Amino acid sequence: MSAPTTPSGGEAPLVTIRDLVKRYRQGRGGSRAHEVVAVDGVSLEIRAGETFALVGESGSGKSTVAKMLLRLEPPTSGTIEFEGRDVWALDRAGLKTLRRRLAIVFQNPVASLNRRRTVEEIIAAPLEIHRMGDRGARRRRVHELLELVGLDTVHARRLPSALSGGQCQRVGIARALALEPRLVILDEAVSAVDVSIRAQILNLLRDLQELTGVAYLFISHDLAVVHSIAPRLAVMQHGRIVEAGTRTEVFGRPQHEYTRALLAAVPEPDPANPFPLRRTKESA
Amino acid sequence: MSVPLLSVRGLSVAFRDRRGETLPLREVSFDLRAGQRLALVGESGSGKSLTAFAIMRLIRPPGRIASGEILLEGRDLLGLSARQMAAVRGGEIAMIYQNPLSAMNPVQTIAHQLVEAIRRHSAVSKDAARRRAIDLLGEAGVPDAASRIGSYPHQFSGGMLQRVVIAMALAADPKLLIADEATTALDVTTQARIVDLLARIVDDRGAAIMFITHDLGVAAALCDDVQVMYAGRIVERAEARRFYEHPIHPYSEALLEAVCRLDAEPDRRLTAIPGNPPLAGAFPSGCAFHPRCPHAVPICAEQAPPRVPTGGPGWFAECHLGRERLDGLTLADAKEPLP
Repeated sequence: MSAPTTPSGGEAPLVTIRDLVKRYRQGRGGSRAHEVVAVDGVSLEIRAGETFALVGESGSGKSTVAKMLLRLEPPTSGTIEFEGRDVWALDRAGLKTLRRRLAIVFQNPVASLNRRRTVEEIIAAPLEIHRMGDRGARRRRVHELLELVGLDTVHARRLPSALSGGQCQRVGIARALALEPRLVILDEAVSAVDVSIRAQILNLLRDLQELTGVAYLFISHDLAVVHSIAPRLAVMQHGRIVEAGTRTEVFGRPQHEYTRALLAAVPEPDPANPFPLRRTKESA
Repeated sequence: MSVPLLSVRGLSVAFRDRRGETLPLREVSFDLRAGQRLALVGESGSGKSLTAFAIMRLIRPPGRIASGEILLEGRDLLGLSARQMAAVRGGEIAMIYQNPLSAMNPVQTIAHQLVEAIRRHSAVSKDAARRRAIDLLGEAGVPDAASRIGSYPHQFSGGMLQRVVIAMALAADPKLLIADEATTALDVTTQARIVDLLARIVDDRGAAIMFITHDLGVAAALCDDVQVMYAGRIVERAEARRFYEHPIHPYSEALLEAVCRLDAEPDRRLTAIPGNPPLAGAFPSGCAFHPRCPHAVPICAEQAPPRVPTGGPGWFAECHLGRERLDGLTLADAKEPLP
């Protein structure tokens, strides 16, 4: 069922996930009946510099895939390769490299920042952990990153509480980009942001990709946003990829019933036809 | 003209903090007719939830209602005793919140809570209340209601629990339902089903709904009038089709342009609104939208904008350029009449 979405072209993919499975045991006892299969045989590839979207509703397993890629949760079976190396078989040095080249931006822009640290301290933290440069060099890099994400250097000394939600999300993006990663996981990163700010952030993500060549794994339940930003995507339901392909394929000719149901549920700002992709029962 | 179901007049809410008093809601006035489906649209901090809380008289210190009238069928809710107001809440006006779990008591069964809600507003026996509770759950689309009524809230999924909360809101046959981001936390497919359910319920019962949302797509699917809030003011109100086709206020226009649409050209830059929504206590002078407005002229920073009527009952836009923008629209219409 989970056809791997193989990118065309000869270059080795940045991420290769094969037959990934994650089972959780619920309660005590260890009987198989109490196992929950969160991810069930997922295979996919992400190319360098591209935006790949993982679409699904709550409980579909999309965030669990991200956690295993980030090494926050071990897989039950299957492999995840990043730059051709199995992320769960890395030595110390390899792990350090992974932590530099892979970053994440979370859904809640305010909660994902330490509220007792200034913006400068927050963005400089990954630089300090990886011992990048001296204090002066780190400060210059923080200012560079602030400018990159459209914030002013006066924001550097502020606490997150003095910033708006949109500004906090820019800080989260600056922190993710601090170590020049090759892949940034955006886990519902614009879902909690106001409409007027969402367009700003999506434009910013596009600009940053053009500038740095970073790839995005864009995890979202919002098909309209995914349509706008991701040329390739996979749709997840109950831990499986039920459909994958290019934007033109999945949005233009959805094959799976669940993809059609998701598309039909997207309300468009048009009172004459708020659910344009819904097939009415009368016409069926 | 008959008396509107709800008439809010000059409603202001004040909050006191160390720096003094701020007005996050400033002289808000609007009407809602019986059976009308009104969307209250705006970004966080615009005052839309605060409007709902003020109508329910749920503003707690350090906040207070600083001025205004809230007339429900001509009766001012601000003049009621605490006891009279308690009968209005969940009686004539019922509210549905974003998180259904927080609206329920986790340690009591659905049956217990529904029966209690029904008996609070009408003198019926427990058995009769239980039968009515099962009917309400059925109406709200809870399958197999008679056997599920004995369950606890945690035994329901988020979407199913929101149906239970809707059933509870219907317990006293309210004239007005206030839904505050009631579908925001739900999955997309569940959201579409709850929107359908709310539309059917208000149609069947002739109840009015005030649907608070930041999602212009969901508002289009449910509502016949749209009201936009910005910085504690209503900046535009119009019938939905007119609003989505020809927004008059530049903020409304910018909001609509910023929405991602499935039928839009992918990979293009989106039309974003520059800057950030202002915070209460730091609302800009004149028209609060002027620092972000692409059409702003000097007067916009100096004077509060007039309320310009825009051609329908209760329709208006609060904008210095409102008349010009409306005239431009009329001219365009004359050249190319709408079907």
